[in-house]
Amino acid sequence: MSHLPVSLAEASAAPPGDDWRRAGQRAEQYLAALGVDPAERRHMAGEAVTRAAAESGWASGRGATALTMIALHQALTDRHDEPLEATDDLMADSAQARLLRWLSAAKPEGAPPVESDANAHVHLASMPPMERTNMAPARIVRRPAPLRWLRRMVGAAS
Amino acid sequence: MIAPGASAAMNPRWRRAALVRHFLMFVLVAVQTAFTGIYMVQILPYHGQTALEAAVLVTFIGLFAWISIGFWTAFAGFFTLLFNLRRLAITRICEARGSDHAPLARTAILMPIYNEDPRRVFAGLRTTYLSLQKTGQLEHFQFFVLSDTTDAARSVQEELEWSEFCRSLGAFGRVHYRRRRTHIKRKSGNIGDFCRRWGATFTYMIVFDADSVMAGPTLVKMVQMMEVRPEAGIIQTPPVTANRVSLFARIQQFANRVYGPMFTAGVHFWQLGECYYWGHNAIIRIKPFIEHCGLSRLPGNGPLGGEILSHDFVEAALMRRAGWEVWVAYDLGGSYEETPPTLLDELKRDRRWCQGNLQHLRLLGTRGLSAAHRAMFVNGVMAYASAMIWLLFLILSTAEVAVQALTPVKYFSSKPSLFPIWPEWHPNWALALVVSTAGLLFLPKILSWALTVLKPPPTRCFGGFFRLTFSVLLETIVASLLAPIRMLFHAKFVLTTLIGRQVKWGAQVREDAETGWLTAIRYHGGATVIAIIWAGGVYWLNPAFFWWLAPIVSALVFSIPLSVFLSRVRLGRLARRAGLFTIPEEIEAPAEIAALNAELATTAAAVDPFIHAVVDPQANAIHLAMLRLKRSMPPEKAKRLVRIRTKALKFGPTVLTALDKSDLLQDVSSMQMLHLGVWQIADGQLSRQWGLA
Repeated sequence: MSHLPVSLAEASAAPPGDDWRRAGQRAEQYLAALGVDPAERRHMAGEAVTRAAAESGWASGRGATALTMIALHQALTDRHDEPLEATDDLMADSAQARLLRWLSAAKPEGAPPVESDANAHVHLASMPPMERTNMAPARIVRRPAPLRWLRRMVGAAS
Repeated sequence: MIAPGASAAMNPRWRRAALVRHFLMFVLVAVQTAFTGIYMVQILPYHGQTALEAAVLVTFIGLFAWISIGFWTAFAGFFTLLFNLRRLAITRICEARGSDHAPLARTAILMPIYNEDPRRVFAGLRTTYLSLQKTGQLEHFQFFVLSDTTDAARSVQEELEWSEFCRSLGAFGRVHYRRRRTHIKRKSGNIGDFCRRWGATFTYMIVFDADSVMAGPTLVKMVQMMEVRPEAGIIQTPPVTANRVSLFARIQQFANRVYGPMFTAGVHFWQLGECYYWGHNAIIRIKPFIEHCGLSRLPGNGPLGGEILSHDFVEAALMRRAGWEVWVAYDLGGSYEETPPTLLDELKRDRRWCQGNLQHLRLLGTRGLSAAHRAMFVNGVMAYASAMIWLLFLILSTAEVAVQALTPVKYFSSKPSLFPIWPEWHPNWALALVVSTAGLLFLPKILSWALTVLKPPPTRCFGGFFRLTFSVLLETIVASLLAPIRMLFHAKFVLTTLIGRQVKWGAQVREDAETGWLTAIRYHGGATVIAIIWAGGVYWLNPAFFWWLAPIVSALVFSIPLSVFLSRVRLGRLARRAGLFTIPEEIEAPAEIAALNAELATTAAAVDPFIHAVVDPQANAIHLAMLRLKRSMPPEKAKRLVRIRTKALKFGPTVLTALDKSDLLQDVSSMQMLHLGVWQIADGQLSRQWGLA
């Protein structure tokens, strides 16, 4: 791996036309938004850049930023060994990983109700299980008294 | 559980007292109105013998009876509070049954919201939650935020606020959030939906408004009261209005704080266990509510048909019809809400309430309702119809003046008569009538002032004796100036409702927003022009009558600046610094209000909720986890989603319409792709549009 850029400064000069420094900064910005502490941020961003630069993906048309971000998502979802591809699975796993990371900071009193549906879509259940009951509308509207009397009279006559 | 209709038999004491009091109220109002009506007959030049005078007389009697009811309500409230007459107060009855030590049952706290500011909603909820936590009784309560929000972006904010609330307080599994996709029957439908799906698992529900805050001990006490009073179906607390800063709102808060307790005590005195439910800050026994309070649509599509808008009065009446008691715990504190910040916001709310209350006309004949609740419906109708009657009275009086000024005096009627009819004018008698009517209107204010001085909290909580007195005087002047403006608007609302103009369900303005000059001109300009023409015409016809009308028309003439200046936050703060319109909640803020203000004092960065949900990794993850994965989608819709998300990634969020954003926000794949795609954008300008450096 010695041929790969080992720092952001080195990375920025690696493939012509691509700004690796900016890709690294974007990865750091993402990690900051995710709440990762600064030291870990730099390390993870550097790793993502390194991995992206090592892949030949950039040659397939993707820029440095795109490849770095995909590498970062893969790192966050523990898919280090897979080739850099932005698949549906990666997107879903990334969302799940971000959710779990966010929930890990939750106070322990209430267990976060995370569940998966039939499509393996992770769902944050915001309501308790239902217990259905019937609530029928009450009878409230009544004809005005003269109409009721008239109806009664007509009914009695017939 | 008691059988419907059994409560009256179980506790005949309050029922007997209620019957006596209802009769007494009827006699007092009838005698007072009859006496004044006869006096009015003497004052009219032809003693009510012309058609015009007869019409003037009828409208006058209607108005006077209405004023008289208010007066006797205040009068009863004054003595109730002055001598602490709590014999039949629900709080005392429950205390006698040992409510203070009663175990708690499972209770749901419901907060129905509709396009409200999510930050304010959850700040209020957090305050209540923490206050309840301090009581050590949190385990008995579950919170439900029931959203009917139609704005997709705002609903994302709600999700994020909910999830952050739960995460920070460890409240997952205790604080719940649900957004309805179909908004059937508005707020009552929202609560009905909860009752159908989750209501069976709870014994009680405490209904909040979006701006409600309640103290934990109050919530616990409410449940305990219900536990020891199995006959009670609803117990309503009297919410104190607080926390506003515009001049208008501060005056309203002050009026509510000084006069409100007396009127609430008065309402309780007359109604006892057949009282009001105001739709929020009240506890409801769920089982009978489900069984008896389901609301159907009113037949027809006219203004008085369709969904029942003012559902709370109807639910109270239905609960009582089924035999359950409906109480107002007038002496229970720890219940707060906020008042509209400006006159126009108040009037917008009144527009909705007006149609709702007029619908109650159709329910007057409903079988089995108690007389007290039928009277309550009439009272609700009169809250707005009285404006129409007042306007009619003024128009007829002006017409009478015009007739007197423009036509020769008629000494003989069309019927055969030996004696001429001498028109008589008694300005002194008329003055006496005006003074005595004004006395009925203003005496409650004086009684409230006296109560405030004599009873706790001390007057220093109202800024001191002199500031309190001065504030009452100023409030009386402002209320007198606002009365004709409200009258004209309410009359218009009644008229537009009756001719079939429907009310749209608009979100209520809850934050302090000021009225601009152009807005004020738009809404009050017509009234100003009418008032100038009216005043000029009357002065030309009869300068003496002009001075009788002057207080009303001058208020209308100055309605534009009045509306604008009263809405000013700066003037509200100035009055606060001067110690005017001060309420105890401002001097010694209760822990809940202080906590709410501290919560709201932290400024949140203004971010487009759509951009936030797309870009922010956590917000995006939470939003995705709140969405349901759609099994299938029409091909046209799928194509459209591909098109708009490509557009978003290529040209930025500014090219998207509200509908585009709403569609994208509700699609799992689109939100995943956009999140990944936006963070991959290398172009600086496009990145900045998404809020990335």
